This record gives sequence, C-alpha cells and structure tokens, in this order.
Amino acid sequence: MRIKIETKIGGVLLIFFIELIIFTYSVYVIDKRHDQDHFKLHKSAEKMQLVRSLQIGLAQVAMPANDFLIPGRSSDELGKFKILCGKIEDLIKKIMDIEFNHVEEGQLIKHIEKKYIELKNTALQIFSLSDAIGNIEAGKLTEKMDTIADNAIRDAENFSQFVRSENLQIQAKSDMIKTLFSLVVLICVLVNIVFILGLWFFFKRTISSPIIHLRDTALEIAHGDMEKRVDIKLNDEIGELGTVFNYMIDALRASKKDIYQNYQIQGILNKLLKISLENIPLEEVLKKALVYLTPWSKVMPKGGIFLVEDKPGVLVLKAQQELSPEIQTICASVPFGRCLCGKAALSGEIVFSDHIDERHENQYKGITPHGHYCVPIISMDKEMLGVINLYLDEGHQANDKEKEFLHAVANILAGIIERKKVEDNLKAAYYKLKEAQDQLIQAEKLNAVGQLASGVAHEVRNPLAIILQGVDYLEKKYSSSDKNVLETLSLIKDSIVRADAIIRTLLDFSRVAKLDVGPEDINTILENSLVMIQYRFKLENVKIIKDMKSDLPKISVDKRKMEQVFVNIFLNAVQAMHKGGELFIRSYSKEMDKPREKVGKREGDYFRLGERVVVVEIEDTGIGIPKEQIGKVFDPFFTTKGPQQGTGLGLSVTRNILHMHRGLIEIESQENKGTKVIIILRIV
Amino acid sequence: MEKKKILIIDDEENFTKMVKLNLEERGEYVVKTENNSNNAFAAAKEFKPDLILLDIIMPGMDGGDVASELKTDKTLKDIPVVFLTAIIKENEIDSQDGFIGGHPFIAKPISVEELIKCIEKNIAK
Repeated sequence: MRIKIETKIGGVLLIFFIELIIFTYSVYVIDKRHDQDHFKLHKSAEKMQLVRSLQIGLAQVAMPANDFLIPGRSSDELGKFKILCGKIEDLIKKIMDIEFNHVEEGQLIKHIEKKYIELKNTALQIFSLSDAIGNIEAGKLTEKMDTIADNAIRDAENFSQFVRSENLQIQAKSDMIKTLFSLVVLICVLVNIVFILGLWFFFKRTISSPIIHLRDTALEIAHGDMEKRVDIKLNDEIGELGTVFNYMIDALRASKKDIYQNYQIQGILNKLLKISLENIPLEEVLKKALVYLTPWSKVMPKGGIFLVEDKPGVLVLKAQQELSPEIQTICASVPFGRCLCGKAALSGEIVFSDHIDERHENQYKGITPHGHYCVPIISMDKEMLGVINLYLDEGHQANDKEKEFLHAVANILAGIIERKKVEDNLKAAYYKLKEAQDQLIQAEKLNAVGQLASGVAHEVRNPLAIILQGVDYLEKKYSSSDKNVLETLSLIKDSIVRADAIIRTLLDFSRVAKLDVGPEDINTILENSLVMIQYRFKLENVKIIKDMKSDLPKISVDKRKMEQVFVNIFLNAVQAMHKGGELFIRSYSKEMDKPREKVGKREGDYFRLGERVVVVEIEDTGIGIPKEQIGKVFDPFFTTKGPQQGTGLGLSVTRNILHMHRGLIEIESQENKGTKVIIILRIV
Repeated sequence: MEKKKILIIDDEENFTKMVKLNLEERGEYVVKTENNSNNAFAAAKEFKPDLILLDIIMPGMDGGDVASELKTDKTLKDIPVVFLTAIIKENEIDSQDGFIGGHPFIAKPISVEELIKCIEKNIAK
C-alpha cells in the first residue's frame, strides 16, 4: 500500500499530540488532587489548632470555677469567666464552621459543645452560691463540674486524635499522589524517549537514508560508474524518486552509450575517409577497413570483404580478418545468391542474421554459433562492387542506426574501390588512349591524303583515260607510218602509265588493305570505346546514361574500326559539353522503316526496308550544331573546334568507316540543346 | 554479222568521244554516247544497247542511281552494265570480286584492248 510522506509525518505528529494531551491531562488531574489534599491538610491543621485551644479553654473554664469557692472573690472573676466562655464559644463556632470530613467529627464537636454548656452552667451555679466553702451543695457541684470538664477535655482529645489520624490519612494519600505524579512524569519521559528514538529511526529509514543513498549513487554515477542503481524499497514519494532516478540513469546510460557509439562511428568513418586519400593498393585499403570496422560495438573482430572482379555475378574474397584457412577456402569465391553474402549481393540490401540459419549455406566443421551482417557495396551507378561481411555474437540485436552506419561504410568503400579501379585502369587507359589517339591522328592524316587522292584520281585519271584512248586510236591509225611517230605515241603511253602509277600510290594511303570483319557484340564495342575515354568524361563532368539492350544480334564489323568510330563520336560529344552534361548511349535492334538515302530497293542501297538492323544512338546535351552547318559536318576538313583541337576529318573518317561496313550514320541536332548521332549497322 | 550496240554514259565528253572513235574503228560496234546521266534511261530505252558502259561519279544521278533505274524497266533490266571508275584500281576490283552492286567494273584509264576484252566477256554472258 502506498503511504505518502506527508501522511506519515501527519501520523507522527498526531501520535505526538495525543501523547501531549494525555500527559497534560494526567498532570492536571494529579495537580488538582494534590491541591485538594493540601487544602484538606490545611483545614485539618487549623482544626487541630482550634481543638488544642479549645482543650486549653475548657481547662481554663474549669479552673476559675474552682476559684469561685475561694472566699473573697470579686465580681471581676465572673467577668473574666464570661470573656473566657465567649472565647470558647467562638472556638466551637469556628470549629463547627470548618467542613467535616466525617460524621463522627460533627457528633464529637456537638458532644463537646454540650459538655461545655453543662460545664458553664455548673460553673455559673457554683458562682451563684455564696459562702460556698463548706457548702455541701457547692462541693457536689464542683465535683460534677470537674467530671464534666474532664469528659469535655477527653472528648476534645478524642476529637484531636481523630483529626490527627485523618490528617495522617490525607498525608499518606498526598504522598501517594506525589509518587503517582513522579511515575507519570517518568513514564512520559520514557515514552518520549522511545517516541523520539522511533521518530529518528523512522525518519532515518524513510527519508534520510534514502536521500543519502540517492546522493551517494548520484556521486558514483557522476564519477562514471554507470552500472550503479538506486535501491529504495519504499512505497512513497522517495521510492518513486528512486524509480525515476533509476529510469533517468538508464536514459543517461543509453544516451551516453549512444554518444560513445556515435563517437566510435565517427572515428571509423574518419579513418576510412583518411585511408581513401592515401596512396595505397586497394587490397591494403580493404584490410585496413576491416581492422577499423571489426572491433566496432559488440561485433566480433572477424570478417571479410568480397569484391566482384572480372567474372560478373561472383564475389571474390579480397581481404579478411581472423578468418580460418578453412573459411577462406570455402568463401574464396561466392556466386550471387549463395549464402548470406551472395544474397546481399543479389538483393542489393543488407542481410542480417542473429544466428546460423538455413540461409547460411557455406557451413563447415566445428562452426561456432554466430550471426552476420552482410553489407553490399554499391557504386553510384548502382553497380554491385562487393560485400562487407562482419561476424556478430549470436543473438545480436540489429538496429537501424547500425545499418545506417554500415551503409555509410559501404558507400565510402564503394568510392574508394571505384577510385582505385579508375586509378589502376587510368595508366593503362592513358597509354591505350594515347596509342588510340596516335592511331586516330594517323588515320585522319591518311584519310585526308585519301580524300585528296580520290579527288585527284578522279580529276586526273579521266583526262588520262581520254589521252590513252586517243593514243590507242593514233597508234592504230598510224601503225604503218613513221617510226618516230610510233615511238612518240609509245612514250606518251608510258607517261600515262607513270602518271596513273603515281595516283595509285596516292590512293594506297587512304585505302586500308582489308577490313578485319567478324561477328561482334555492339555493346562490348561500346563499352571498350567508353573505357578509352572514360577519363575525359570524368574530367569534363559528363554523366553517362546507358540504355543498352542485352542479347542484341551480332553485327558484322571490324572491331577496331568501330571503336574508332565511337571514340570519334564520344570525343565530339564531350567537346560539345564544355560545362558538363549527360551522354545517353542507347543500343537496340529494329526493322528499317522509312525509305531514305541508302535505304530502299535501289541497287546501291545498304539496307532494304523491313531489314532487321542494330541501331546505336549517342545523344549529348551539348551546344548542338547550327542548322546551316549540319549538312557540312561530314565534309573533310570541316571543323568548329579550332586548329588545335581537330583536323576536321573525324566525322569524315567515321562516315567512311561506316560506309566501308555498309552502315549508316545520321545526325540530328538542335542548337543549345544537343546532338543525336544515329548509327545503323547490319547484322550477321 | 550484226554490229553490237554499246551505250556509253559518262560526263566526260572527250572520253566518250574517244571510246566511240576507238570502238567504231574496229567495225564491230555501234556506239552511242550520253554525257548527261539524267538522260541515261531515255537513251538506253531508245538505243536498246547490248551493253552499257556506265561511269560512277557523275553530277546529277550517279552510276549507281542510273543502274538502279535501268533495273526498273523490263526491256532494260537484262542489259549488261559495266561500271567505269577513276578512283578504283584494278587490284581492288579483285578484292570485291570485280563487282559493284552486282555489276562488273573497270578502272580508268584503260587501254582499248582491255576495254574490248571486258566488253566481249560481258556481252557473251
């Protein structure tokens, strides 16, 4: 039952008040009795005094009476006698005025009064007798008077003794009351001592001790002992205070733990960010990340990091902490979907288990109870890069905060992995690119010569053809004439052959001997081309958005030539996006629909209507091409880039390569919005 | 023996003139020249040649266009066409099996003898 402190204090005060009333009342009663006894004693003493005076008075009355017999008495004697009688009567009256405690007292005093009156009358009789001496009557009266006086004095003595005994009784009673009073005081003192001790104990137990306990606990907690708890088993406000205090400590401890965890988390993230800036190999980065990560919170200091390498859909263990050689062998390579890590990689979500369940497919001999966090590492482009695997104590409680933290770690690792991959590939890509660019420049140069050669060939070989035909005619006409004429014609013919040979050599510059055509996958070619100039996209802040359909039919092309085509187009796109932008790359298959140049039923057409083709669209968000220039972009030496950036042959070469493959290139562009290049290729 | 009718379509007027002169000199051919490719179809329709020598690079319709147009006509579609070109060499003819769009072709400049050899080969077909 809950009793409030105020009720308890109220109860204590009530008891104290009752005790005070009892004590006061007792004292009052005893004191009153004492006063009464005192009064009685006083009266009794007064009575004793009066009785003694009365005894003396009575004796005195008897004596003058005797003197009456003596001759020569004077009338003065009577007067003195009467005064004496007046005194005695006065005393009797006074005694009778005092309240009697007993009936006997009244009877005795009445009896004394009666004797006195008899004595007085006898004395007066004697006095009235003259010549009493020798008078028999007088002698008899004197004897009677003595007897009466003796009786009266004896009665007075009896009365006195009676009063004395009564006095003693009162005295005894008074003493008893005094004792009783002392006893009451003593009991009161004892009761008060007990009460005060009880009160002290009560307050110590219910108020003082709990508060001191609270204070001490608070001090211990303040000094860092967060395990301390207040132990108050009271069912009152202080008990409640203790409960609230414990609740507060729990909250404080949770909050402190929270702060500590946050501090730890921050520390780990900082360390990860720091190693992300260090120039160390990726595997070392992963190893360090595990060292930082595994002691975190209640997590067991064990784990591994998997990466997706050359083989898609397979996780490869790249770094581990405290894993046994057996586990390292079993988990060296984990396909997506298998075991907890594979499931995390497949779903792209954190996989948590607080014990070994049926999802934990990779089991081994002597496996001890544990749980796992498997955290997928996903790139910005939503590519699955790998999985972080952490061991947990069995029964570990997962929470959103932990998951959030692990996501952050995975994101940092994703950044590091991607950057390292780029870095590792950058050198190779740089050299590859440089080579490709050199080749491109060379090809452009050759193509320029080729373009020139073609033009020269057409313009020169036609006249040569006419001259040759003319010389042939003249030879025939003048076959039998002058030897010199024939020799001259022969010289001309030789010169024509020589001139033609020079043109053929020129044409050789532009002609690639043969296309190395084979069945190829367009998406692979696109990816390879992208890799070559990936650094340019990053540099120019160009975001690549791919929409490449899988399972496209194979195309019949020269892989290297096609890569040259796409690199050319990508470079043009990047250069058109000075302030960054988006590059959409789409590949799909379709049937040729509307008839246009090179599409239709004509002899020289590359494609028939309804023919299935592979289409690549490369669309940028760059500056676009002015309407009046669209028609010129494929012309050799046409450029908008300035002399330092391009030869003006890129698109010309591109179109030539495509035409060599009997493929098409089309351009759609809107100024300040972007350009779309559409490439149509024939399938195997 | 009836002379074979050769139609030569080339924007180079002097070349057509010389080829006509050389072929007719042999006495076995009747040669008609056409220097405007846009009139090629009409010329063929009217002349009904046994073989057409067709230049590829011409202003207006090019050789390919003309060949395609000829294919559209019942009476002309079976006439053998030999392309003439100044920008392809003989060794490249082999690499393309000597055909452009299903037609044989010869590179300029060409001697009369070689021209006649080619004409005879394709007419016989």
